[in-house]
Amino acid sequence: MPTKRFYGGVLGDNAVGDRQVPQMPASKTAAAPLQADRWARNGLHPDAALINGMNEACNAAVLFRSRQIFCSYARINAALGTVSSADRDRWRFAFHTGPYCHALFAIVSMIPTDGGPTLASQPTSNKLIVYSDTAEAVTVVTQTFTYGSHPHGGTGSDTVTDIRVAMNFIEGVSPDTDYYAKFVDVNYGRIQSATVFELQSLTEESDGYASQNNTAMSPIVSAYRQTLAPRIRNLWRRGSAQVLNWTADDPTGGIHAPPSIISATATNIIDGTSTTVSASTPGYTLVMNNKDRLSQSSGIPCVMKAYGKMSAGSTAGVLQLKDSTGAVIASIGSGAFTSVAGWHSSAAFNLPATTAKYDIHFKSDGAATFTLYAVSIYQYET
Amino acid sequence: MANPPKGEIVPNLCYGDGKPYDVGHDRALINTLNAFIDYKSATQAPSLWSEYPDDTSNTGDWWLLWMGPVFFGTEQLTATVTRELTLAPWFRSNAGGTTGYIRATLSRTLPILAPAASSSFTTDIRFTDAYSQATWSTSSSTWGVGADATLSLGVKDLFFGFAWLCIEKKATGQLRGFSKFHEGPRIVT
Repeated sequence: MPTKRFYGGVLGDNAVGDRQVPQMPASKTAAAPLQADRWARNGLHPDAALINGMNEACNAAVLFRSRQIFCSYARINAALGTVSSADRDRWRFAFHTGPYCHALFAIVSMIPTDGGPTLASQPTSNKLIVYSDTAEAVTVVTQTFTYGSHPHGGTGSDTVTDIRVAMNFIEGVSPDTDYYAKFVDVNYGRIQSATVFELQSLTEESDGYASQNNTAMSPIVSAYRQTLAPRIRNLWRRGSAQVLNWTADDPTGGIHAPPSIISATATNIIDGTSTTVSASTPGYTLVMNNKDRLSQSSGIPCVMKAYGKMSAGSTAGVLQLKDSTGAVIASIGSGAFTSVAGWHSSAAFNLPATTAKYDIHFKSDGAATFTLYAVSIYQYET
Repeated sequence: MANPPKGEIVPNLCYGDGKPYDVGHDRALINTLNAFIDYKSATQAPSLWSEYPDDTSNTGDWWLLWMGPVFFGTEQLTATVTRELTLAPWFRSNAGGTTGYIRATLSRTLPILAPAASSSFTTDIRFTDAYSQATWSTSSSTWGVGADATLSLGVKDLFFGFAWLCIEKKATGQLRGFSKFHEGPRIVT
């Protein structure tokens, strides 16, 4: 049984903050947007219904709008094949936990491994490892997802009915913290797809939920705003949705190996050939509309992180995010990637608050080899 | 896309001893909450792969290429407050002049095998619970982005908030992923 509750536990009486309640009062049912023009205009009296509405929207935003930090809707036709008893690295991603994150939750689907009768009794599985450092040396938590033995005695006849889905809490992460993670195939296991998302709680990571039971005779106190304003601010700055993840399917090699480059000409990481940006080059159409603040005239603050390495003796690798004109929006410059694979970060940059196409390019110096394993971009406001 | 009121960083000076209860900060809080729930927290999960899994032209059934769970938050959508997923494929036909098809289905449960389907992961499948579906076609052999399509997010799992995205092909369709994949704001009807 899980030790965590999905939305956290119930606070003790002495731990509940002023004008707050010890457990979730908000309905999961989606509410319509609050109407500022109806409730908040000059000449109107303060209204308990408005205070309740804002408190409920804040509670719901924390609990029910938590973000997905990684997903892979991946190949099932010709899924990655060759496996062994040794661990095999698969997908990597970087993320920053939200301000009220008390755990992660993962839903993983796995498929059987065809490899002969010996697999009939193999306890195949996969695991998600979360690291706190860019070198993937300090493990914060490891969570295993078990497939078990082969459903047909070790060979053949696998269909969608042989997919097994495992769900698990990933406990031990802290709120508002940088992390790096990877999925690994274990003992002939084959992960097929996954989603990892945050669970937030105002009892685990704060002093209770904003009350929603104010009435016409309730006093109007400063604590209402004192509860709301910092939480909404924290959510906006650190609780926003991931922008994109790209990861190699099989970092160990083979036909689905991570892309590598020797050329000094920046080249698209998806097709490995395009050196310019156009409508026919593979890229991401990012929807960033209305994700900027009223006073942000230059776009939404973001961070790009990438896991890669160079051949020995070189640090020439460069990763670039380019807009539809070919202009570099963000980059991880030469000097970052070394012969030891690791995560590296761009400087903070702004994505325009528009819908636009972006390509990811990489390059080396014409002599050394730059290999790229994963890229993650997420909203992050200091 | 419409331009609703934007979010704001509401300052600490809006509360405390001697501070007035003012309508301006109420509006700022309302606008920021709405903007966060509708836009700032909206799931965005475009995914492009170097490989494209299949070159065979299958003319009869749809073949399942990719599949996986995607999380859209645990709020429960209703008949009157809904959301849509907007997505666009990065695709082509592997034979110029011949029409290829790509189909995306968002489903509450895993698909099942179609009756009499052959036993492989490529086989024809059926969706048995709530689902929403879109199809694209092209006869061009040049890679490009398809038109936007929308899928209802009302089909997502009612507790965990995720849905299974199943991507299929027919004929000469080839796909490298979805270059656009964005959860829309609440739609009130």
